[in-house]
Amino acid sequence: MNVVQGVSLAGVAVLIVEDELIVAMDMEDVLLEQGAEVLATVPTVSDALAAIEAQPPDLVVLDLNLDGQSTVPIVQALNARSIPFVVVSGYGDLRAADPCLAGAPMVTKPWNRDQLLSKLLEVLTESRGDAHRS
Amino acid sequence: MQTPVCGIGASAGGIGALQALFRDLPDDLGLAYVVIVHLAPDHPSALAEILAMASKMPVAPVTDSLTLQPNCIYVIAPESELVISGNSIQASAFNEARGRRTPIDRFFHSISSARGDGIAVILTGAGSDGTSGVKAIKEAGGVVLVQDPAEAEFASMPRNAIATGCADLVASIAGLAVQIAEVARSKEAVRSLDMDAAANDLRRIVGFLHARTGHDFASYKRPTVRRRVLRRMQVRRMTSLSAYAEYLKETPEEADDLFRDMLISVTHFFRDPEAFETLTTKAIAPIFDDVGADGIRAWVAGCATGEEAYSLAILLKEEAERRKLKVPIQIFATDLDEGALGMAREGRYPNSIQAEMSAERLQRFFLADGSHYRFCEEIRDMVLFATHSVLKDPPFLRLDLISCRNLLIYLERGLQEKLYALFHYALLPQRYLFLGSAETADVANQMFAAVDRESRLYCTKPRPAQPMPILAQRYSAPDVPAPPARPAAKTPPGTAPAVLHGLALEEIAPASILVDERSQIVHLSPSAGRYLRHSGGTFSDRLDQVVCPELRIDLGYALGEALLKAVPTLTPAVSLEIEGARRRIALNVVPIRDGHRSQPHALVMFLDGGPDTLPESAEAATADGRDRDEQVRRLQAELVMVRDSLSSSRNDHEHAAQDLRVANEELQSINEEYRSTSEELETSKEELQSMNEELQTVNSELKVKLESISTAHNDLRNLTAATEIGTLFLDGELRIRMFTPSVAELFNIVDGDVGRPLADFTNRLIRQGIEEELRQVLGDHVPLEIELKDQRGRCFMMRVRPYRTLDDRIEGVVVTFVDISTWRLTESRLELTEHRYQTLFDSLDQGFCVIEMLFDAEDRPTDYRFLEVNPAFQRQTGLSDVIGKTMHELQPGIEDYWFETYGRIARTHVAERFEAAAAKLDHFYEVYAFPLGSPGDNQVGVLFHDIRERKEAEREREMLTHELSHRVKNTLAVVQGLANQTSRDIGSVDEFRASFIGRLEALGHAHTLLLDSQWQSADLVKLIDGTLKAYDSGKREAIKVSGSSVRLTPKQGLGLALILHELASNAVKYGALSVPEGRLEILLEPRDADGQAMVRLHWRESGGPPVTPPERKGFGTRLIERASTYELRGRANLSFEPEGLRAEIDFPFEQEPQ
Repeated sequence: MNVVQGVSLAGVAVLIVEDELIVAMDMEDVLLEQGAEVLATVPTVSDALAAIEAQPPDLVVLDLNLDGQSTVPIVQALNARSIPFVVVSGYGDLRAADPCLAGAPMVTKPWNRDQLLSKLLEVLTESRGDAHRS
Repeated sequence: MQTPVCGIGASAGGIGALQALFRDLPDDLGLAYVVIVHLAPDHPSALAEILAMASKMPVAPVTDSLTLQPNCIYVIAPESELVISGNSIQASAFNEARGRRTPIDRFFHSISSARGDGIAVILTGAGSDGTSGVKAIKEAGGVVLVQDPAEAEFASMPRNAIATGCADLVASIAGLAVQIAEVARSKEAVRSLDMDAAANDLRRIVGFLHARTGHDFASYKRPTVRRRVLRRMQVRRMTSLSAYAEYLKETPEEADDLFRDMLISVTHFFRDPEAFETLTTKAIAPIFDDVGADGIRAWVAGCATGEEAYSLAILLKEEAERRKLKVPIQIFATDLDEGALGMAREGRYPNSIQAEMSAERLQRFFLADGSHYRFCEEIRDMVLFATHSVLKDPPFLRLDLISCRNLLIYLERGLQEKLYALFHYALLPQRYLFLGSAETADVANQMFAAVDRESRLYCTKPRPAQPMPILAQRYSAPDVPAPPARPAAKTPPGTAPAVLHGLALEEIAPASILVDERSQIVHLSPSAGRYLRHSGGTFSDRLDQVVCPELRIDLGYALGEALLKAVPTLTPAVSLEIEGARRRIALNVVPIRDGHRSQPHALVMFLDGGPDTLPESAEAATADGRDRDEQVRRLQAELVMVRDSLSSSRNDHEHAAQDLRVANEELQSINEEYRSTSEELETSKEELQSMNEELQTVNSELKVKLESISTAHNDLRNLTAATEIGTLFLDGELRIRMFTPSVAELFNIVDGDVGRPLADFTNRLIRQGIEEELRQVLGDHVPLEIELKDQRGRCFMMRVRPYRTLDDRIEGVVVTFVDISTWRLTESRLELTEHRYQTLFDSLDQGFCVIEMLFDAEDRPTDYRFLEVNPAFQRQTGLSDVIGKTMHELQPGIEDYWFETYGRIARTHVAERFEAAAAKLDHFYEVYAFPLGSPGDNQVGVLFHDIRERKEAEREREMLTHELSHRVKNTLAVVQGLANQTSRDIGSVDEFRASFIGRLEALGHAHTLLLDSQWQSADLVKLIDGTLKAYDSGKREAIKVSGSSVRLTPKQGLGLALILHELASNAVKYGALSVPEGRLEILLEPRDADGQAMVRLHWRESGGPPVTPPERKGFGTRLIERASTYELRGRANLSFEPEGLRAEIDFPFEQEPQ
């Protein structure tokens, strides 16, 4: 189990926003292995927004481009709800995609399992720290 | 302040002397040196260049008018003379004939009149130019320096200058240089003297001069005296008057020199006009009143440069014309000064004489001669100039008028008296003597009566004929012997016996007369008068002429004995009638010598032999008788007769003597005329000499010229050969004068044809009428240019110009032929190149412009102006009609970096290449900008083209690359996931590989299909065919696909490819396709569900091994189910029927627009 400072993904409700089925399935497997609960895996922006609305996840893994559609609206929705997320994208530079993504945590495709996990934990830790402080 | 002038005159041999002089002269004396030489008129002179080499001082030839600068050398130019006026020097043309030019004199005169002082230097030369000039210089107070004739190459010019007596210093060239320097310094000192303070010293000097020479100049005008003294100071190089006074005291010669300087004569026409007025009315008029056949004779003694004599001539001429009388008028004008006489003879005076007489007189008697006036022949012939000393030489005689002005004042009184006597002797009775304003004839009032005392006009008193006064002894002439001591008139009675004896002797002593060696009565005793008896005619004081006639013969004899032989004589007694009684008188003539006096005198004593008591009758009655008386009477009668004849012969003799005297006088004057002719010959000789001298100069200069001409000739020859310009010189008749080899060929002429008319020759030019064109140029002098060809096809430029001589006359034509064949060819090539360039410029797709950068005061580039643009410019920029406008005018708001960049290029002159946007023009340009012209022009050439489209394509490509990278990464992520998922189910590597590669191939196939449609859509049937192809080898008939195809989205295509792959691989491994008899049917069934176009894919296997549902969901199953929803947005339903697997997959599709 990947654990960062005592934080684990176990029991964390995760929303996967990914249009490539194979990638999404792979990601599900990785998260399930870690004990996370995959709330949903959605391939479109509208599905994602609906999923967030239906049950806000603890953490979101998010592709930047869903079959040509930008996921910026999702990011905005997540930011609005202070839901931590990690962007998984083939784009090297987020800023080139959209300025509001500057500084967003990111893992580049094709992703490395450990990299993805540690980034998820890092985001989760930060988020929790913020929650404590607030 | 005026620059002091040093005039240097030189002639033959002068160039060497001048070089030597200037080499020695310091260059800081502050003098302006003016060099006058005799130059040949028609010959350029190199004197200035020669002197420039000898001296550090600047040398300037004077051809116009120059301001004099200190330490400069001015050189006379040929055919001109120089004059000074103010502080400038002017050149003007000569007015005299060549032989008569005296530029040195002329210049020196101008120095003296313009400056009043200066330094005159006479160097080597033949002739006498400068002679009168140095006098003028000296008279004006300048200093005269002369080269030692012994050293001079030609001695006559220095010698003549020295002969005037005006030379202050005579030295060698080296000495002259030193002297000039010293004089210049002393002149500087003199200039700064305080004249008021020096007045005392001046008085001392004048006083000393009086003591030394006996002449008191105290009454002379002070400025004159001061000027002369200052001049001597310069000569003696004294710097103060007191020093000079000391010098004068210690050096007796200096007193004489100063005295001489004081006497330098000045005269001008009609000096004292009132006096001349009086002369006309009171002397000339009366002379004309009783003029005889002899005409009028006048004598001007001391005529100097002749003004006096000519003035008189004018007056006489005028009077003669007034009276319409034609009488011979002869004026003798004499002087000692040869130089002055030379000038006088010339009768030529500077224009300044205008001030001295009326315009009418100038008009009437003079001929204008440039800067001079020359007397007309009429006047000139009236005056005869001769060298003559009033004191030494016999005078002219039978004169009507003597003018002797300002001569007597210099003479001692005694000598003056003798001169008056001489003048009296020379003048006819009742004729006139005209003196200077400072002179008077009052001392000779027994001879002259004043006609007008104010004007110093005197008239001879009639008086007895006298022998000509002899003045030869001059100062040594003895005083007239004092008369014998005369006893007191009365002696008181009762005196001593000695006195008584004296008285008695006086009483009874015979009457006596003392005569001098010329028998003139010197003294008479009281009673001697009775023996004198004047006869008629002129009065005489000669004893032998006035004694009683009876005694004259005896006395003459006796006086001869006494005076010549110093023998006393006692003559026999002669009977005389004295005081009414006849007395017998004998003469005792005793010579008297008085010791040192060499001149004999004689005492004539009349011894009274008592009354002649013996009457003739009584005589007859004497002891000798009648015969004797008769004899005596006869003898007496004979004697009377002899006496008469003697007396008559004596008269004859006297007349003869008189005639001889007149003849002598005439001979004298003829002699004078011969002399003057000789003078004139002398003058001519000098002229010839000066001409000769000029010729020498010309000759030497010609020699140099000849050398340079021969060099020039060579140069010319080489030049014509080198330039290959055919040149043809033709004269006014178009005869060949000269030609160059290339012309020879064109005109078929050879060297021997010079002088023949050009028309005689055929030429090889393809042109008619060349002769006419040449004549036209000869006529109108307008140069002509014609292009023509010769028979060999060569092109020529023929230029015809008039042949213009240096003095601007047309003496023919010059024809030149320049072969321009090559030039023509080059020109046509050039035209072609230019045309090409223009075409390039016009057709160039790139914009091109030439701009001129504009900078503000801080040198910042602010704007630029278009100078030139090509047609593409408008296409590239959209701007039109830009020439002459600036960028700001055409389009405000252009980015600053355009100006900065162009400004930098204009300043640094370094070309730059750059790309930049011009937002206002909506363009993006690639630009190559380069400097044009020189840096100051600020011109920049700009070559540019719009690259906006390229830029956009680049951007698009960049985006695409970016996108591609994204896609590849996505695809890789998919592959990664596929590998992960595949690996989960499968243990062996071989199995994994087969399974993984199969899935990859399915994806790859879908990609291929999508690529065919540009990733727009995929045909469902094609997808199925393609996906199953990998598994249907040999089983083609086992698979049946039916139904209508639909178009899938790319995502659906990819998803369906994976699903079909999973289904097919399962069928091949485990299902219907694993056995030969197995069958697979795929049915496509489109249907409509609530308005959404849907399709159902039926997968039906049959004939295969019996199917059992799998124990757990493998990846394949999961993938089919998930992909159906996730990717196809549909649903899959798998049912494991025993006869074979069945799958129903529903999904929506986009209907193709109709």
